[in-house]
Amino acid sequence: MPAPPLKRVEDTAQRLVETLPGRPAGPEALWQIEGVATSGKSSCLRTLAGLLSKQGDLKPILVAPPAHNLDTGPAALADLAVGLSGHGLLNGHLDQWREGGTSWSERLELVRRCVAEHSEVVLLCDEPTSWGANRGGDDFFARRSFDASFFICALPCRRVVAGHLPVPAAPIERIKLTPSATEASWLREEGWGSLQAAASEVADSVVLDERLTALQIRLLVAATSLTSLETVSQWVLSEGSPRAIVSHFAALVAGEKRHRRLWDAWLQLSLTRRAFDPQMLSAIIPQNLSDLERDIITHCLLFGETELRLHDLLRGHAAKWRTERRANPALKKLLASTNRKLFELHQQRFDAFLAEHDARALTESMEAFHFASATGDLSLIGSVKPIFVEQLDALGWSLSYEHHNYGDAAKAFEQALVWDDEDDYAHHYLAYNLDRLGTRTDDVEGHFRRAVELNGDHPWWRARLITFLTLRGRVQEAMSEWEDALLALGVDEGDASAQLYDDLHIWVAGALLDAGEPRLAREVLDGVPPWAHSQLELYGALDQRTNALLEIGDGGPVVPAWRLRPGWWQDGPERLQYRLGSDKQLVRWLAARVEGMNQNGISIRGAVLEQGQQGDPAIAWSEIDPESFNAMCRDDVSARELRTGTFLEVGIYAVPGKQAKHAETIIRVLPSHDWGTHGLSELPALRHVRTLGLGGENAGL
Amino acid sequence: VKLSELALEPGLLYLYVFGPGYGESIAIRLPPDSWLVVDSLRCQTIGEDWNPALELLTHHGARASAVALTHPHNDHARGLIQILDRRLPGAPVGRTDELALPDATWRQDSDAREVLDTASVAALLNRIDEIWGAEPASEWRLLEGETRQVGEASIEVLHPLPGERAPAGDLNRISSPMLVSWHECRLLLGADLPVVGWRAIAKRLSGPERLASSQALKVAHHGSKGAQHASATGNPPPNDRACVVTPFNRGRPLPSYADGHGIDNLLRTHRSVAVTSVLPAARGMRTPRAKMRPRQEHFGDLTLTMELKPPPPSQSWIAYAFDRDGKREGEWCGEAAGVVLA
Repeated sequence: MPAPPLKRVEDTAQRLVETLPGRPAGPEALWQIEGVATSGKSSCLRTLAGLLSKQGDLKPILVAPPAHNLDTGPAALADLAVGLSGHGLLNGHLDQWREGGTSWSERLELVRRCVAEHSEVVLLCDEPTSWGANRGGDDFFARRSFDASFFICALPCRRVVAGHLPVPAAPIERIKLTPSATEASWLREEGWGSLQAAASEVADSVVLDERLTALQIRLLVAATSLTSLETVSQWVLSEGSPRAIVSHFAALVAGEKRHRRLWDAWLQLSLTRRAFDPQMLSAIIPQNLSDLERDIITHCLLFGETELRLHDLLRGHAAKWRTERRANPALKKLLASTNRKLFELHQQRFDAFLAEHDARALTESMEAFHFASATGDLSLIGSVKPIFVEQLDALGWSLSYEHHNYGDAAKAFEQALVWDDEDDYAHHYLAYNLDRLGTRTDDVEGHFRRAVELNGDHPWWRARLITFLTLRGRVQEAMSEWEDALLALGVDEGDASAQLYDDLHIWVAGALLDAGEPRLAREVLDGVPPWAHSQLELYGALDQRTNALLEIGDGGPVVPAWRLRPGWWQDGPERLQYRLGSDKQLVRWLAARVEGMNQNGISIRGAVLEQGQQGDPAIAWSEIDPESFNAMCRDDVSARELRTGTFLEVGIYAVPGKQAKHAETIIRVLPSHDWGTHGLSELPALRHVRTLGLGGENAGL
Repeated sequence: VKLSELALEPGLLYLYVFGPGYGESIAIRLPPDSWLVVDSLRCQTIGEDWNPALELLTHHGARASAVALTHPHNDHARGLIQILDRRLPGAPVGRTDELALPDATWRQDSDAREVLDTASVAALLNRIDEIWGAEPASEWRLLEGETRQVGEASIEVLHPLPGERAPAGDLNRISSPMLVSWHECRLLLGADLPVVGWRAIAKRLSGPERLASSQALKVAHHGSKGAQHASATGNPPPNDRACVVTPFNRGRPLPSYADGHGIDNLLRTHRSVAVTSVLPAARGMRTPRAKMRPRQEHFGDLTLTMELKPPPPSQSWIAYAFDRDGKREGEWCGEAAGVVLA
């Protein structure tokens, strides 16, 4: 397969090979390779690993866990263990590594001791600051990733870090890699298969006058084979950054039905997390791909010869697309079958490595567990033994969040707690999932509280405990927890971020409204400083709802909920016009609610309002006989169709200066629609309430 | 009289009925020092948060020995959570056996009152379920025959039967009247049970005359015509039994003072009827007191009856003291309460 010449990358790697032995192992032995996404940092690290292995004096260990994943932190430690074992430096601890019950801190200690005893170890860390990027809206997994990156990059051995440093340390040397233009010669090499013509076209074109990286050129070759050189030249000339070229190419492939197989293959490959061999590749992608599509995948999308990898930019683009369309049934089916396939492949590799007592069984086992979790299939999940407690946490997250299987999610968290009773994440989400099931309420509270005990700085842990207590009517206890939370999180000291107000105040206020406590909700919302209001998506909705519930006080409302706020009448009527065509003007109006129907007609209760009403309006009752109502109503609603709870506006129109007897009375019926406070309906459903005739998760509790 | 000025004598039973126009709460001091709270009201506005039964318990440094929710309507449920917070450990907590609540769509209702009411009831029911789970001995299913001893008194639940459902969501039909008996003194708390329920009680109950011969009656369902039955109100001629109505000023106001309706009917069997809050409920009532007569004005083609400004809710209460023979030893009321004479 033709490979681009990466001279600068190779030179850098060679220079490091010469430099590294000259420095003794220790905390100061740190090198950093900097550069943007396509500058070749990862390639440099891998080249360096190969060169050091060949040389044999130093023992390189590449730590390149799948980034942006829930198990990235544990996977980084597993990389380290596999590397140590591969060099025979794990001191016979492989069995201990495979044992699931070992805690996070015990594993860190094992690694630290091994590294400290073997000064020949060189750690090659690939973009450690990106490991901590989490998904799923929770920082627990990110914390584990940060822990791992911080720990590994601070170990007292030689370390080469590609990308930013996660530790505040001054490296011995900081090497800057910049994306370099590749020469056209590799495009003219043999081996491009059905892309040969496109490669030659690109090689001869003026686009190569631009400084393009290998990734850009590969994608231009692929795109030329699917469209024309003229089209792809425009991409380069308009905005030719690597990200822009990826976007153009993705739009081309995803947007045309004829490229559907290729796009599906791209999506499937984006699920892979580690390098794979050509045999795995042919098992993953569809069998019915054309030669051209197959060549695009192998020559343009994937890097490496035996260890194939999808470039992070390509993976990221596909992942974003997947996330945005995750409800699409066809996509779900494709991803489910790919996850299952990837599980099988990694399980086979695990079996093979295990039979050879090869430590790589560790990472294969983690991959198999990840893909089994992603399927949500308990038979697959049960066939893989997790190693890290965090894998169980990630499994629980996946079963709960992605598969809505709260019962088995609770079991996963229970198992996690058997391994590590101080796992605040597992305590919290065991409680959450049991709560969703509506069972074991005592346990729910106990685990919510334990999570707060273990990690009192987590606003979410505190907010959920308060919400739990509130929705069960234990408002007094909830408010006591609220006071504790404010103190513990330093909210009153002005240290809070908008995110904290979002995690804590917004959820607690919503729960208080759901428990019929608008006064307390008001107090909670008043704790959000004005600068944060616009940054909190739900603040406005909660604020309006709270004011409305307080505004009705002990009386009944005379306007719909979405209009209720202090001094609501100053906004004027909603449906009554201010003028009629007959020169008559609105002089007074009544905002009213139908309170009932009886033999006298329609009974209404309303606020009597003048134009420019200042103070609180007087409240009055009236009866309207059906005929009069039908005569006065300007909407297509008859008296018979009215229901208790319908809101009306009654207006008196008169010509200024004329006698009142010439006045005209008009009724408008306000259309019925929901309160419409966006997002509020996503508050957790009330549970543990015995209900009749209702299905869903409350049924039968 | 201010509520807080009422000193309690040790050997007497005290019955307090609160009802400002929306919400009803009954607190009974049972000798020697037990408190039963049946239903609750809570006035919560921007400037006020008042829960009379809670205030009473707090004033006397007491905790509830038993708490009951006769049916899950908000005018009986609001504020009961706070009472539960001031409950003796293990004290019985009663509610109807089966409950029906709307699903979560109520949160989006355009009627803010509906949202607030449903939210309050849902939270209370959750709380009671939680207490029953944590303290199984406190579970008191309000079903016929379920009697609890509180202090020297017994509380007998009169309705409904096990398995009885609220037809068409009418929760009043499964509300639970109670007979409180202390030596010879009996109080009948009518809840919101309509006539059909009272008929069933009269048929099933052994010694139904115990009800009508009680020394005090909290009239069922705010004195509505459809909730008065001889088994509870007794038969003419009128007697001196303490008869208390709590008004309901929402929708069609209760009680009605019109001939042949609530108050008029009650006056056929009682010499007087006490109403915990008279002014707002007096629309249509012929009264010699001009200030109780609502003002009317024309509004285009409509005639408006201006709502009278209600008195402070905290003045809407009536209290009685009874000795062990059922003899009334005293009666007190707030400024908003009144007595209608035959």
